[in-house]
Amino acid sequence: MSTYYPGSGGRQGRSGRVSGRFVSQLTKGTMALIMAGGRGERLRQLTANRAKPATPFGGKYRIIDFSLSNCVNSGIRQILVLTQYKSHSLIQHVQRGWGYLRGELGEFVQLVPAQQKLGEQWYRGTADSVFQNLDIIDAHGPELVLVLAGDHVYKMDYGPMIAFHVERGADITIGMVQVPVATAHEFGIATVDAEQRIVDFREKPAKPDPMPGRSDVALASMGIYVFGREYLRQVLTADAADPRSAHDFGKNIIPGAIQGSRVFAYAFQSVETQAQAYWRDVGTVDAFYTANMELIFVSPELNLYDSDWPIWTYQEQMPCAKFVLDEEGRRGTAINSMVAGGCTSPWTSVPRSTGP
Amino acid sequence: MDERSEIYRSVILPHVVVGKGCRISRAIIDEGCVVPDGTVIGADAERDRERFHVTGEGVVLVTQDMLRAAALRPDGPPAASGA
Repeated sequence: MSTYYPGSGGRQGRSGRVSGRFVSQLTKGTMALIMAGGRGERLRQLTANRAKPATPFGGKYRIIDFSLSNCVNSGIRQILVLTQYKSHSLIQHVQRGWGYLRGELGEFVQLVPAQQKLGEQWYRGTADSVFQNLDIIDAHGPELVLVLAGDHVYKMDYGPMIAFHVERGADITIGMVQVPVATAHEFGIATVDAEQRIVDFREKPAKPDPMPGRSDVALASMGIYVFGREYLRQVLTADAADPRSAHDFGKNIIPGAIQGSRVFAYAFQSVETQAQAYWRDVGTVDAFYTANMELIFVSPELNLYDSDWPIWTYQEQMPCAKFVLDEEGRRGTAINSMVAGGCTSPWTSVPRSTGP
Repeated sequence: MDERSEIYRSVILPHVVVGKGCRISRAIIDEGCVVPDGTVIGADAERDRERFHVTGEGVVLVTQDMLRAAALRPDGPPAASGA
């Protein structure tokens, strides 16, 4: 079975090569929960008034569009977006841009703000945000639940990860990326056996273990998980009753499950080259800047021109960018730049920039 | 973007207006900012730091709140060109 992986250049839709990508009963029977409630404080004043997933990216997108587009493109069309802090612009964006799925077909993107349904507390952590909404999940009755972060930039077909979860008979499958050992202390790091089963998991370890067969890289959690619904209910219910827990997937749920449950690592990489696929947690102002500037490379690693894996967004209806006045010294130019709709550039030179 | 302004290696978020004769480099200009005429950003780290946020790698983050606060400073709006 060949499978299309976004970014791998695998499918040549318009040239006639047949894609092995398909929407399976597995992805249809999966509900995605996108956690979009974090404070994103390391983005400084960029998140003074907005949640990190609502931060504009690449001229016309917002960061959450990547996870939402990955879901829709993967055939997962039951999506909850869990919001908490500074959610106004996020709610506005999702309402305007993501309201087109058809309820009649059981497809939706629903916003779920913290509602204090189970007592006085707001969402106490990532795991608690899911725990407080188990009733909504049960009402739809998906087989599997895919827990995603709403603040990462990447293109990923979740289908193969879900298939991997089912093949291994896993209780939890964690999406993993390779990171240099030198920076691994910033991530949740897994130690795996030959079967990809996780035997140890540490959040931000001082001495991270490298991955098997490599001394230079470690396996880091992307903070995305596949769970069976019943299993998810059990672990979250137990965790909610534990007064010592921070109710966090990375800190509590995953480490607590390693011994007694089947927890597997799914490596997010190119099927063809086994190379690490593009994935960015644009968590700092510098990372945000760099990820945006990478887009103006001639062939950026993140290909936004891939018609087989479109990144959907809400866009205002604006006229195209225009560059006017053709006299020396007054010419509007843009070199190594991305210019979004609605811009006019008279007398302005814009070498190497991105933005509307 | 208005006349005689130059923007280098910058990330301009939506709904930004750049006034006349501005010079902006290695900056992120947040949504909705109105950058006054003659503003220079990214040329003088000291002056940038007084008004904006400068990262460890020297990228200048500019938001609406910072521009408003800068406009109220006794020494006037940010770094007019030639200043």
